[in-house]
Amino acid sequence: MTLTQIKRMPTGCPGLDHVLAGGLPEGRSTLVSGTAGSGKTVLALQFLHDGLRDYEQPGVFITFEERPEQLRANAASLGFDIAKLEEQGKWLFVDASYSPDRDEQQVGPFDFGALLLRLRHAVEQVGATRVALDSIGAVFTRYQDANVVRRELMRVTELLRERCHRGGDQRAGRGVRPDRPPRCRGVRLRQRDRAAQRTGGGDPPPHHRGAEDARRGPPDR
Amino acid sequence: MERSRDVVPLMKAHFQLFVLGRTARTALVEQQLRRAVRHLRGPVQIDVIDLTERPDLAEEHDIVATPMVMRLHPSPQVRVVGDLSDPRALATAFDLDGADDSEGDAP
Repeated sequence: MTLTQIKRMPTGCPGLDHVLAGGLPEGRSTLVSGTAGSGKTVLALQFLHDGLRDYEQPGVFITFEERPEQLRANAASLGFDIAKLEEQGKWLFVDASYSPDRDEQQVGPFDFGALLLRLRHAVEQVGATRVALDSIGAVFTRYQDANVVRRELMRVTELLRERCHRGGDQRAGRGVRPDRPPRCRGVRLRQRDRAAQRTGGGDPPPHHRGAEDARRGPPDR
Repeated sequence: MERSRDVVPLMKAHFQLFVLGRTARTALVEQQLRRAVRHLRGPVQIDVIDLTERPDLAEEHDIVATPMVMRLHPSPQVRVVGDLSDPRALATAFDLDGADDSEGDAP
């Protein structure tokens, strides 16, 4: 497949869209990776916000790190009125952020069934075509078993892919997933080289990304 | 499903078990929980909640991983995720006196 055959979704960041030949690949998951403060969360917020502003494409933002109220406040400083979009039923947060009073101990195997349920509901509720998951690193920090997290994140991508292939205007599953998922295709944004693009190159080697993320400490906003 | 909130303060212990669908696997998790708390003195209330029937509760309690048990009483609130297959870890997590590993002869 050549670049031109893959439909692109503009991120709303003109320079980035230019080097990405139009935007992020449609119907796929894209990994955004970068060090703390490099702007992964901001890119995700902008991707959803501009998708609505310019293309009327509703969005769902799953947050594993910052609380939705923090994200709203941060976005407001960029001029994004997310609260208004929420009121209009075009934007939904799925709050999966960590908080000490919701600390969980782990006794035996578990899965992210509840998260998938919430994601599916949220996507259906607003008819989302853009989904952001922020951040993968935070999920690995919160749950010790990297293999479980890797498997469950695959289920999230799978759910989005299914919805995407259902066709019509209700397609979903184009997403920005800040930080590193275990296996992915797409774009990796680094601070130094700004944007490095990988297309159809298969999966990166399956080494222990999760452990790396955990060691690296909390990713940026 | 019992949800008489007035009774809760008098309870010795109150747990809510959140599962996704009613399957043999979730029944086993419930069994593990009941077995773990059977040595507690006084009444124990366990509500089993199927999130596919009550997705609003997944949202309300910000649940990500299932199965999940929440101990509402005695405080503090404690959350445990997993299939509860390790009785000793479960007893430690919920500070259950007398519910030691000798009770855990699960296959």
